Amino acid sequence: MDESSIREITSEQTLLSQPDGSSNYSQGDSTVMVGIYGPADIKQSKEQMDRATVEVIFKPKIGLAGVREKAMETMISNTCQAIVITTMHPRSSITIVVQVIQDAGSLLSCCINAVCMALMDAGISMKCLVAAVSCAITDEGAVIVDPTLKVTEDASAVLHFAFDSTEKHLVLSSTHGSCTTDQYMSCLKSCQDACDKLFEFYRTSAERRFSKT
Amino acid sequence: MAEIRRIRIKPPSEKAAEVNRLVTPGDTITSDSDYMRGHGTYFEDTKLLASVAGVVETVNKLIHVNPLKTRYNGEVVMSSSVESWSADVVICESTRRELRRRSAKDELNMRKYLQEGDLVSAEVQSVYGDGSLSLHTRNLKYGKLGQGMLVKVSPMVVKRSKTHMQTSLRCQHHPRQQRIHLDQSHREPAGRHPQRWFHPEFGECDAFDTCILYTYESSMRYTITELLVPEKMENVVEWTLQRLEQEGAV
Repeated sequence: MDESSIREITSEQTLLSQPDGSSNYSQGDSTVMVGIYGPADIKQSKEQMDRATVEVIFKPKIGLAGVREKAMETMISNTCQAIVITTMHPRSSITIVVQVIQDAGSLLSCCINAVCMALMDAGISMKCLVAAVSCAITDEGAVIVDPTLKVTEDASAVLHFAFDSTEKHLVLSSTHGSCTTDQYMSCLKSCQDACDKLFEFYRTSAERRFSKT
Repeated sequence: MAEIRRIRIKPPSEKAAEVNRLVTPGDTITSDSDYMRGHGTYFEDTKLLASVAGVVETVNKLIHVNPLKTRYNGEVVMSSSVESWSADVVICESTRRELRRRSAKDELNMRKYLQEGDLVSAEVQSVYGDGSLSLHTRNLKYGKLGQGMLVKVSPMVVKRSKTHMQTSLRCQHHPRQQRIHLDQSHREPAGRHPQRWFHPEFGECDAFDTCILYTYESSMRYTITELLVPEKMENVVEWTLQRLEQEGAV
């Protein structure tokens, strides 16, 4: 089983002045920018009496948002609802705008990690942090973590997982293509091991930010 | 123009207990059930966990986490005037002494007193369902703000207090006149105002009216051009902090 680790991660926070929280995140060449507004007012038709409503707007690099983008929005939204303490802000909205700058593979993971950094920047209460890792299963059966676009196109299956920072439990699982149960479990294990690097990155970037003030 | 930076408010020196510890959401702060839960934390089983990324601060038995950014919730509003006049959006009384009932003529004459873009000090009377506010200026301390400068600072810096007031520097004590040409003597005090910083490298000071007044007085020792130099800025902030400490306000 071939295993590779996550590509080089760089990130920036508070780069946009209007949103409450923002981040620019890249994994290798895949880059995503996120802006978060919230907790803010919401239309009465959309409000939930006991919790905040998480809305995600996913903007692709080229063209208008379509069905595929809608699916991304739902996945990101569900992940956020699992980690954000929405009961702290009833009848409010938390709007997350995700803009793709470049897609060089593992886009969904990039988006989720960028959203996590922006949520931290916005100071929105969260139960824990979330780290997402993608992996691909090639035709030969090798597992490649954080695949590039080329690997993704030739792969027989592409899987995305997101884990929480406290117990590394699974928060999101998404699969494209087909694989056996054993392959699924070995991908899950590889991704779980790889997300340590991400949690370390979150911690270091928070330390660096706070040491400046 | 004013340099605006985000800073953290230092805990009062006589109460600082522990070394400040950085936490991220999900980190365990303590398993001791003795402590009370403050902002930025939540309970899970018997453990107290952080819900924001920030520094843990303990004040006696209260633990809270101070994130780098928070949003301001206030009651007294200092804001620019409304964009449109309509009877059902904003109810604004005349700022004169006698209270009169609103009449149609008043609404037409309102333009004489307030125009779009003017700064008003008002109190929130009520909040409507859709989020719009009803403001009133029924007190002599409220009303249109005349000559002056608006300095925007991060909400983190504003000290929490019952009343927030705009600072009246010497120039604003002049009787309210129509806008006339400001000569040098009027401009100077207004020019010092933006040189009020809450700059992280130089020092930390909460923004409240006494602080602003002291900073202004300390800055009087220099001319305007001298104040542009960072070392002089640092001195001004230091003097202000010393003065506040002597009075026990910090």
